[in-house]
Amino acid sequence: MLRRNFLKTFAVAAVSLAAAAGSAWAAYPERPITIIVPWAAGGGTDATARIIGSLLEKELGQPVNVVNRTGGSGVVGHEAIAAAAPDGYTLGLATVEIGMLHWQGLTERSYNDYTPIALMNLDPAGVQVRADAPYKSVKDLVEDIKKNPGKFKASGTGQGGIWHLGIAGMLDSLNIDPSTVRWIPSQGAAPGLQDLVAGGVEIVPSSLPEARSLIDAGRVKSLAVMNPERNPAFPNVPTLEEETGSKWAIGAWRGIVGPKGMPEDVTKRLTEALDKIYKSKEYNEFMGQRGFGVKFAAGDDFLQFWKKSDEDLGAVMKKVGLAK
Amino acid sequence: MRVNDAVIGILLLAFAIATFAYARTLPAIPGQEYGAAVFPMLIAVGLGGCGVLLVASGLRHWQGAVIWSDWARTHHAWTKLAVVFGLVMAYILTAATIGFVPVSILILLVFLRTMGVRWWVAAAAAIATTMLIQQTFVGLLRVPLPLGLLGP
Amino acid sequence: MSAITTAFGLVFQPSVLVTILLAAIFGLVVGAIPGLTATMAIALLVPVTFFMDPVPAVGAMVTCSAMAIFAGDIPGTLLRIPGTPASAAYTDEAYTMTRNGEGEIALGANLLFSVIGGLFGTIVLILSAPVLAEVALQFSSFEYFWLALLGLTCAVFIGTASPVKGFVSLFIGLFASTIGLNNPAGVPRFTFGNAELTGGVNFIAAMIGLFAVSEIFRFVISRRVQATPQAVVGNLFRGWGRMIVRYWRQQVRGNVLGTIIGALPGAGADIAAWVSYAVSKKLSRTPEKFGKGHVEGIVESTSANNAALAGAWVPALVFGIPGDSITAVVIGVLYLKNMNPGPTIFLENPQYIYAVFIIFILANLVMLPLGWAAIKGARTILRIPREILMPCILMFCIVGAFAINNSTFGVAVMLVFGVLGFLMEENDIPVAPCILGIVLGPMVEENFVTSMIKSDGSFLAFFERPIAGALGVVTLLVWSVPVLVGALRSRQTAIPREG
Repeated sequence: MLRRNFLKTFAVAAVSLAAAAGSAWAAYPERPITIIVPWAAGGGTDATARIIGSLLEKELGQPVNVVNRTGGSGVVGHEAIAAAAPDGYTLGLATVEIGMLHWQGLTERSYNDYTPIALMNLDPAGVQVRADAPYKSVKDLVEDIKKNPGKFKASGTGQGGIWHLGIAGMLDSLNIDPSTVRWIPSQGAAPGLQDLVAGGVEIVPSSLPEARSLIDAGRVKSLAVMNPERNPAFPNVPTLEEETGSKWAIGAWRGIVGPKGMPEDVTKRLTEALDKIYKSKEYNEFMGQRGFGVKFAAGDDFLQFWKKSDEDLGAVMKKVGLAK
Repeated sequence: MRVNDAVIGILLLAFAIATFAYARTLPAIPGQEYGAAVFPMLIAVGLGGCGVLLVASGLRHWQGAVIWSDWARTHHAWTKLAVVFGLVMAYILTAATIGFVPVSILILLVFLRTMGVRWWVAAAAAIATTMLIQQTFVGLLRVPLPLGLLGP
Repeated sequence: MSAITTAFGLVFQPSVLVTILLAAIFGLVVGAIPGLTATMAIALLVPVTFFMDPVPAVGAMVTCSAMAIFAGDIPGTLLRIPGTPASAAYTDEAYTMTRNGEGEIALGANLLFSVIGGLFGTIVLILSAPVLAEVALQFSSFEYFWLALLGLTCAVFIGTASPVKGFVSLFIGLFASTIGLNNPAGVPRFTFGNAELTGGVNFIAAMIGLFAVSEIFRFVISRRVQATPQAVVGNLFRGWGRMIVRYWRQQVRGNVLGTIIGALPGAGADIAAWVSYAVSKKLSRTPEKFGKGHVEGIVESTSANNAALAGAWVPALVFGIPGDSITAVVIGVLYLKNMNPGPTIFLENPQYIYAVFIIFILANLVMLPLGWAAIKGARTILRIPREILMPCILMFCIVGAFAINNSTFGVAVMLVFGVLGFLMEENDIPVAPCILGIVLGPMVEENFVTSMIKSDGSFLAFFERPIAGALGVVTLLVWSVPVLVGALRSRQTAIPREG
């Protein structure tokens, strides 16, 4: 509390000092900051952006407005982030889709068009089936898929979305033709899960937090998580590698980015603030409550992570025929 | 300004054909019969059907391609319509660079004067409305209205 | 019993009550401004609730959304600018009443039946949430496809003298809904390489254009300035008793339909209002009065949209599946406050659930005085001369359309649909079906295509599941009966003309 007050005083002092000295060396930030979210209010990305926004506001002493620029599977919002002035007053919460859209020819933007600031979250894909399904493990499921090609349908995001790639990549890594499981496009994980319970599809490879309420309600069970480690919020769900030996891992990530060419002092200030937020009790409590995974990487580390994710996704998309 | 149904019908038909032709170029979902093209094509068929019906009914009651209503015979009305359209266009084109507050005041001023409101009333209304919007949207609702020239 | 007592203790604390009151006022303001939806109001509240206790946090959201849905009726009725999409269904009807000098009856009905609808939905939520949620969870794409088709049928019932022109409007709306990337195949359609267009036509911007901007166009060309309808202040409660007695059937129907549609994930208050309005007209003894300033349809649909709000909480609380976009936000907050949704919430934290129920009732009751004050305040707007009022409204529309997605693209969409709406109405093409088309288009397409993928292209699958089969038969009946009757009638009238 004391520190926060100190920071605030410091910020106020700095701002007034800067004002006194003229705009020659105004300390960033001197006016409200906007964070663009490429997805709609109510989703996980929106919630993550809003908690980061409210903590960033405290950290920087300027209002942080979270605005939704939705539509086009994230194209519109990511485009708006890339096209903004690189002055640090327009940031965005980029999501994994930015590494996928360009492979499909839906945008030309990729990591080259952004200033990576900090990766804040990673949610690995899971393998969810109805709770009354006869499979005890993901192994049983895979056996059944092998035996009955064409019988299974999966859903949880749009055509070519991250969870679509999740299951396609998993099957591919197990030497099964990815097209043996039909993909049913949906508006997101929630409608996909509803369809799972209603009997419309058999598998939803969404992240675990997205399926959490139905898992808790005893309607859905998760057989595996496509990540090297188990999710601490779901310690009973094994990893794909434990069960099948496949090293396939995929997840949806979210990170604060800016347009390309931001001044170094601004990114430095933001990285410091975001690092502090990442370590804060509030952020971890929030993410823990929602069951969201946390992962941090700043600057160049983030860029490397981003590049690798981009390349991995591209490889899978080419394999399953989703890339142009 | 009442356009004869037959004219509307032909326009709709042309639009429907264009839509249908475009929709045919859309790719299917890999391995599926039904893809992006189905729905626009159905809509095109529907629109085209409506167009044909309108042509039929329009020709039965043909009284010229357009029946001009009272307002459409006056210059004033057309000017005013153009002003409103132009003002919204002006906002779209200039708000980002010039900023919400000046553009809003100007738009309101022009519109109010076009409606024959006295200068001082128009100025007062323009400024008061702009300030009200600025306060509610930026202050209360956190909508980042463009700063334009007022920004750095 | 002790849980209920605890719940009352949780709610009736000065800090909680003040929070609810402030949230109510906030909801009123946001709801009354076109372009700002109840969902946006809730999203704006999220960061505030981070730092609140569970009960006031959830209480603020419940109250705020209920007020916003009601408040959307006020500008819709007075100025033909629906404040939220949920009011669009009966905006024209209510505005016609205002022009007939009956604005206070319309607003009074909006207020009264919003409150009753909200309370009804709450009671259903309290008594039968687990059972109803179970049913809602059985809906797959096949069922939703039929539902969406039934919804589209409403366009025809709402429609006007010329059914063909109603269809034209509907198809225009459906076409607009196909623009962009948001389709099952994930392919950009009609975007011509424009990034903004991949996001598609936002239907709120389109709605502001079709209703409000077209009205502004019509205003500037009207030769003489219309006399301002002067409403007598204090008359708001006029006829409340009579309306309750006279329209009790409509009201109950609206309540039930609204709650059910609200409880279905993916359909919310806006669709509930449309369907109810259409049902009201279809089943009315005096359908010819609809559209000419008749309160009957307003009663039914304004009940429905507020009932839907509570209905949406049914699957949200029981399964954590959002019933609409508002509860999608709320679910996140519930998790945050350790009130994890699921069947167990009723066992583990009953005091919180009861507190939520109490707040639901409170929120609907507080709507009466606050709504009354808001209406009274808003009516002074009508006293402003139209030539001053209309330019200011245009500015609000522009900013509202901008605020939807914080982009001038929304303003452009608004302008295009404003011109379109003006041209359509000049030629007797109704605008309401167009909006319905934009709203329901994606639902029809997505559920059709995904169903076809699931069934390997077999149409029979649409009738194989019991609920889907029943809905399908109902839809086909609703379609074929009027067509047959119409065909018979037109033959009878056509023969003498030709002869």
